[in-house]
Amino acid sequence: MKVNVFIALFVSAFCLLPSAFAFEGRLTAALTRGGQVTPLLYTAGTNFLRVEVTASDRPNPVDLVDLQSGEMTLLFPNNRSFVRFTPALENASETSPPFPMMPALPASPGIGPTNLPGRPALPQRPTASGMPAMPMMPPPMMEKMELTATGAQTNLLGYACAQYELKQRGETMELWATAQLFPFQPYVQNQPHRFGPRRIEEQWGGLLAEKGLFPLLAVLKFDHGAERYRFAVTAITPEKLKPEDAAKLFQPPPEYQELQPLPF
Amino acid sequence: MKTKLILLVASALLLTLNSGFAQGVLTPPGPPAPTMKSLDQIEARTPITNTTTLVTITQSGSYYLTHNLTVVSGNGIDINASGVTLDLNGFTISSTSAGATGYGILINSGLSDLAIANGHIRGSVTNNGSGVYDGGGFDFGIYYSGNLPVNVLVSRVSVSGCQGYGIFLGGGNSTLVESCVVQTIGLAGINAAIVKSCSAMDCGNGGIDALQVSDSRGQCSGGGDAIYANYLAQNCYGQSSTGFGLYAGTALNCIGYSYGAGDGLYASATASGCYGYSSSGTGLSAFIANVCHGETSSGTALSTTHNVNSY
Repeated sequence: MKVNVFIALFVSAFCLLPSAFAFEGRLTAALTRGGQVTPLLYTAGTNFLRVEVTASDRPNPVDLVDLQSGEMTLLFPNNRSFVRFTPALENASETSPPFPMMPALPASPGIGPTNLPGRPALPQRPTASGMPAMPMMPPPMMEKMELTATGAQTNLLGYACAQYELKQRGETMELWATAQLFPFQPYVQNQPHRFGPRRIEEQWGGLLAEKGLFPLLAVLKFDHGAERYRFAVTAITPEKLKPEDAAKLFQPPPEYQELQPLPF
Repeated sequence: MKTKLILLVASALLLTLNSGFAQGVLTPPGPPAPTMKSLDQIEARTPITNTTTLVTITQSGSYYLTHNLTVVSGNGIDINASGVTLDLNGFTISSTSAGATGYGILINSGLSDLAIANGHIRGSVTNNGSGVYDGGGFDFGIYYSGNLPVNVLVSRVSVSGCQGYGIFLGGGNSTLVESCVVQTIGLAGINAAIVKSCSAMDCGNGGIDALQVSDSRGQCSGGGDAIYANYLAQNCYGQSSTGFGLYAGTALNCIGYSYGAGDGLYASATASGCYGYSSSGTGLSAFIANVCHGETSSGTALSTTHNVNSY
């Protein structure tokens, strides 16, 4: 009897874990900038997300995201390496962009090559106390950016979407987003910059992710009408991934070498 | 009469001249005194004579190569002590490993006061022309492990054909890379606090990454920044395939190209006397653009909050 109670408790506790996101499957999208189209494939597992470019003209990096911790792993097929890092939290309420400052000192120990035999000890990060602070330069002021719901609703590709707007410096992004998928992760092809650009296309992903939204259509236009950025989901395929497939998709290939992320 | 007198005086002078010099004693005074200097007095440095095996430096001092060093696999030189000057003396450190592995020069954890100069580190990694880097030799040219090194100067060193990083010294505590060239590096070319008069070409995902960069050139075939300067880039040229050509706090007299959607040249504060081109992104973007020019094929030519004679 006692055992049964324990099992029941364990099962119910497991079910209550906030680990799984609503959607599991694949999603294709097209990112258009300056007339150049980048086809993207999102593969969502229970707790992981993989974002990659499906064009084959070059060995594009692949993003693996741990949806629980936010840790990102960038795979570099071009030299069979990968880098892990936790992106700095986007603070959507900031009124000004971060400016060059002394290197950020992550709390986590340094990481580097770990999966190769005979490798020396990994680089350790300096402690915060060992690095004198450097005075910051005054940041340029930029207006606060907020994701504003317009109240309009529609259905795109079978998903209920609400319309939002983002405005900044003579540009407006109109987007339709749903809460029925998973938090948005824009495709990144490099380790994040330590400062700068805080343009709409650099911030919109964080603003959506904060609200657990995924955009099915986003169009950024200058206020005079010209379009300069478009993200459009073209297909959504719910699909339960096999565990063995998930293990391959969401982990670096074993032959890949872990490298230390760039510092500063 | 006068002529006779002159002749007489001349003859007398001629006769007073010595017709031969006196000869010294030919017998040696004794055995030669010990006048030679010791090797330490002539060359107060330690020669490194290895030609095929790992060199491990465990004591501070000045060292120099006397031959090329070619290892079969693993590292070329391990530096395990602070206060080391390593003169490659024009020689080359290379590895014949079939797959890229090890470090040309490894700086072990937490060392300080190091100088590495005058030579070459060579692997056999190549770019297949499509941005895929593969081959043998070293993973890294010069690299550190553990805690950041302090007070490190790397100068006049060339690194080529490595799979990971070319010269990687970490970001803090006074590291300087000067007058170095790296080429064909799988991930990123040069990383240090200060980089000056350097060139990082054909890098997979980033050329030069530093706090300050001057008089340098970076080029990467992937989506990274060809030149990234946390504070200042001056007199630099950066060219990236799909990332940012040049990305800096302040950019002075710089040129940046992006053949993708990245910015050609981005300066979070001021760009002055700069040019940027981007294929589908923003040619030149700066908070203050002072006498700058941005161009694009299908993106935005110039994006600035304060435009001072820029277009």
